Amino acid sequence: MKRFVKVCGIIFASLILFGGAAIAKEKKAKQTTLKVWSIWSADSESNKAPFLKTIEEYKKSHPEVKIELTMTEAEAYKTKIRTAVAANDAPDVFYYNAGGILKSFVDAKKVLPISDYMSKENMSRIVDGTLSNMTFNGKVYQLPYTLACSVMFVNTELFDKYNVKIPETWNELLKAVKTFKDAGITPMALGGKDRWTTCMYTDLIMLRAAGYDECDKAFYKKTGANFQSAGMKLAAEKFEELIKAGAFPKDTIAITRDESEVPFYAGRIPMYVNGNWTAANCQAASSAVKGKIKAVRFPTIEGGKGNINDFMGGAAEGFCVSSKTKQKEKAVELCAYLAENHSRNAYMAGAGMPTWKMNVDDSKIDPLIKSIVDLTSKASNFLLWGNTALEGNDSETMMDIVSEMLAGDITSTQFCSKFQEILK
Amino acid sequence: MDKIFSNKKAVCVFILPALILFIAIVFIPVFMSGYYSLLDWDGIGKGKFIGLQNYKELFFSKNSSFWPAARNSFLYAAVSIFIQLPISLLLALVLANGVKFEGFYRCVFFIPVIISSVVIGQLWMKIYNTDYGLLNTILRKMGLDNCCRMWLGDKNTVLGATFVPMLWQYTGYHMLLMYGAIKGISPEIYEAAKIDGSGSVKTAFKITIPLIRPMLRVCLTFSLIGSLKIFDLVYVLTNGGPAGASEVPATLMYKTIFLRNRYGLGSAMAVFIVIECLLFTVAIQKIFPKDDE
Repeated sequence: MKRFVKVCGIIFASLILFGGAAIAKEKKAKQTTLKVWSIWSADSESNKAPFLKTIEEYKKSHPEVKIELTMTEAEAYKTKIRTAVAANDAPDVFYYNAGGILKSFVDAKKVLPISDYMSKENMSRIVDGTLSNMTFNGKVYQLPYTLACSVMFVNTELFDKYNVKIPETWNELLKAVKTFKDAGITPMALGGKDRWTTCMYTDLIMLRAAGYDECDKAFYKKTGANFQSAGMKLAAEKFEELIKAGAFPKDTIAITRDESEVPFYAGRIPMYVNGNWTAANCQAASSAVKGKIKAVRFPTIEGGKGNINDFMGGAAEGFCVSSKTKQKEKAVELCAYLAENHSRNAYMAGAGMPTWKMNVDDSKIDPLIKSIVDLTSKASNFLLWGNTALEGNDSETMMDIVSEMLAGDITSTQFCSKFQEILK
Repeated sequence: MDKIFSNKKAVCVFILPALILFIAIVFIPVFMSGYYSLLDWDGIGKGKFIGLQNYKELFFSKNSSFWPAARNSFLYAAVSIFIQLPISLLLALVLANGVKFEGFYRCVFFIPVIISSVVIGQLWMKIYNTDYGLLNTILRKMGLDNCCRMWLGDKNTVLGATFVPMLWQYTGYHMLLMYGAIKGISPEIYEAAKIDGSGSVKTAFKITIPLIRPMLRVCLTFSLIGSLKIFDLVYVLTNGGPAGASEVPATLMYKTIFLRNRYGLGSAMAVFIVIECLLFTVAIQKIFPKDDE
């Protein structure tokens, strides 16, 4: 028994020693380390290289700070960051979406009101209007780095080869779809498994059919919101029409965005509606479609209330600071640095449009990205993507409904009535 | 040996670490989930106590996607029990009877068990791919073009398609358990049976299987519970898609909590899974009582 107690004692003592040493080491490291979480883990992400460049620039100018960077794939990231925030174990600075998605963090007081920690002079360098989805109760909780928008990317080579006019109206779009389909080519790329990719199409169709005001009311659940208006019904019918015309790959519901983009980047699919960040991949040095892609505005819908110069997008994502961070000033400084410098680096790489005022040599900007900037300079309206404007539960419901439609499980009438349930 | 067992203090001390871990990692979280299931909580802010409303919504709401998910998990359980276990049993009987390279086969069948489910999911995703997947390519080469399907994209085939990797992964595990049990049977019984003129099939049915009944019960329990709570394979292969056709309670719970920010409702699903597994385990104990031999 005596020996037994001795052995137990030794085991307990060594456990405490090692445990204590580990905690001490961690405490020491915490003094000069900032944790940064972001998306863009895959090399195919157009934002990855510019972001890593931004991090390196920060490390060079701030040698006393150690950065622990973790990058995760976008869909998996949602779960990861929410779990960490809920467990009060969030990184100091992290990427997140704006709008309704950010609101849940703001309401739970998990993110720092950055405007309280930044000087007016620094804040004034942010482009006007880009903070609207990041400001709650007069305080700014997130800093934007990109002005995103969705456009239709067309492969001019394929359009020329089959003598098809680049569509500006819905009827022209259907004609183009039919011509390509008859030639054995999948007309439009879409990775339905990720669901937000499908929303890229439905958001624009709703915007063209129901118009900006109706969509704005519906996506933000304002008074007067109606998903069963004539415009919304038209949108549902048009989406159904596009699916039935065979515009999308036949296994679209089972492939991810990355998988679905492969044939587009290989020059086998003529049309793709997605965010402006796609431009960087199109124009990458190794891209098979470099120089062949043109960005155009999504076609108008005959009988629709929308304007061809209405754009989906805006400043829909940015960097936040956790309210539980142990180094508030340093974290805010890092956050602002990342937002401003990544804004510039991503723009130079063609992965985004800047949200900070900056002097950039225009001649160095890729022509495709420049053309998108030119298109948006004439924008009449910017509307935040539906699945970002809507909050958590509703956002998921929206993505599920469009997926059910894509899979052919519901009709256009059910589409509208299911959306109407969100408003209850 | 008896001296150690009768020394109550020693027994307590040795059990204590495992018991503490068990309570901390299993018991307490289950009770916490039970408590959370009574809240309307988004997992981040403050929760509101709403009693059994989450359960009401789970079981009785007409929009609830829970019953299709539960039905899918029962299908997984049925396939596990009625297809996987017989295959494992057959393999175990054949191997235990003595074939050349017995040790090699044992190894090979067990390999899928130790490969991570995520890797298996990725592997089968590529096999099932409509354009370049192995399955469709083989079918095309054999001239069976019209048999080609969007295995993971068509809601008619997706469940069947997900059964295959699941069966493939754990057949070796159950086979090994049964093989071990069979090897534990005294060879004298087999010799007696042989003298009495019993062929190998008759021996298998009348002697081997009855004698390994306790192990069969263990395998049945593991198989049933495992398929009721399956998550990783389904998540990687289809994430419950397309449009919920291959949803199981565990993936639904995951989405409800982390994507829909409805921790309370998700916890209710978790509690359901726990209770369901407990009930089935008790049912198995009752249907196959422990032999007194």
